Amino acid sequence: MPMTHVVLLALVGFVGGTFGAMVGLGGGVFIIPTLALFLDVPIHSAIAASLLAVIATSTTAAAAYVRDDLTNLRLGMTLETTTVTGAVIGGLVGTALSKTVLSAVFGGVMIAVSVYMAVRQRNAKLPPVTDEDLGLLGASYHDRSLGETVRYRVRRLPAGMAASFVAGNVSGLLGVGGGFLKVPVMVLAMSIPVRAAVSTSSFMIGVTACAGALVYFARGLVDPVITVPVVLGVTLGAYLGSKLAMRVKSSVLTIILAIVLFAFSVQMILSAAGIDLR
Amino acid sequence: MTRLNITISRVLVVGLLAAVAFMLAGAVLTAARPGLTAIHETSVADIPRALAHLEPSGFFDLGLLLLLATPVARVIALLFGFARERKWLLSSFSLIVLVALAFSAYLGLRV
Repeated sequence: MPMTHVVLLALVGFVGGTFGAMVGLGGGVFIIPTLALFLDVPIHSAIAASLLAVIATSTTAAAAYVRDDLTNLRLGMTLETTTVTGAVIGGLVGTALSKTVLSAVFGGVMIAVSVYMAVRQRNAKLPPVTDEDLGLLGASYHDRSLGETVRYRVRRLPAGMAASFVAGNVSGLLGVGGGFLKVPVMVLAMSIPVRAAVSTSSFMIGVTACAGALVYFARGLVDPVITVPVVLGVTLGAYLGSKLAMRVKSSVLTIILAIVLFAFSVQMILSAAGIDLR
Repeated sequence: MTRLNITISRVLVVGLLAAVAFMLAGAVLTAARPGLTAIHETSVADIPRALAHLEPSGFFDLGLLLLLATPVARVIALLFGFARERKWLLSSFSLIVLVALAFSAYLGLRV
């Protein structure tokens, strides 16, 4: 393989890892279509490389977020039960579901979610919570950009767990980490501050992607020539992205997330309409 | 920062650094052998032999395997960490996730 191709693969990983780590996604929504469309990588190799890249993004970003106490480990582990179960069941029944219908429905929903997030963030003000009122899964963290401690209580857990199940299911079908569903659900349905949602999603997506990647690895579908440059680029990008995310204001982070979600939604709807960028 | 946070962060950092180190070693070995035109993926059982012969594929595959093992290791660390804090419900959640991952690997080998 020419050296320029290797550098391009690493560059794709770097961009995916930087933005993925900043907004709690794995970068798969960017990596898969770019590899398949612009670098002529076979779709199975692209999905396998993407799943390993999601694990690299998650591991790099989560190491920094957990150390800085931004990640809610208790909430992450609770939601992972339904996410991973959803991913496994998605793998079992995946062939019975129409990917076209799924892409159209989720694309439409995500456009509405991204627009709502962009508009809502201007007025987003969570009610003040005391240490005694955090509940079993609530937590607190120090927000560097605000210079204050943010406390939050987790609301509507059953809705969050149901959405996590769907996120796991969809991520198994699309070969991505599922952060594009987890972050908005945590922010909009569970009243979790965007910074905590991004870091908890980063923490969770590695395990979700691991369930899919194990299948690809066991079947010998992981091509190291494609995967290794992407993973090394992603690791560097995710390190940079996690550092940037801690310095950027939550409102800016929300806008970036809304833009990324909107772009992904358009891609899903185009895919459903037969214009497949992959 | 709690003791559990420190443990989990360390598990993630060690797993990631080990994985990246093996992948970079494979890249260096590939660059050092200009005549090497193709890299083939090896089976898990072949990795020790490939490493002993300094074949880049062995280093790449071990790196990728370590990367795959890192999320599993952190679920195991959380299982014991929550148990040590006597948070049995959260510990049992970790066990459920671990069983689901094992089932996923089993499906991959079977199907």
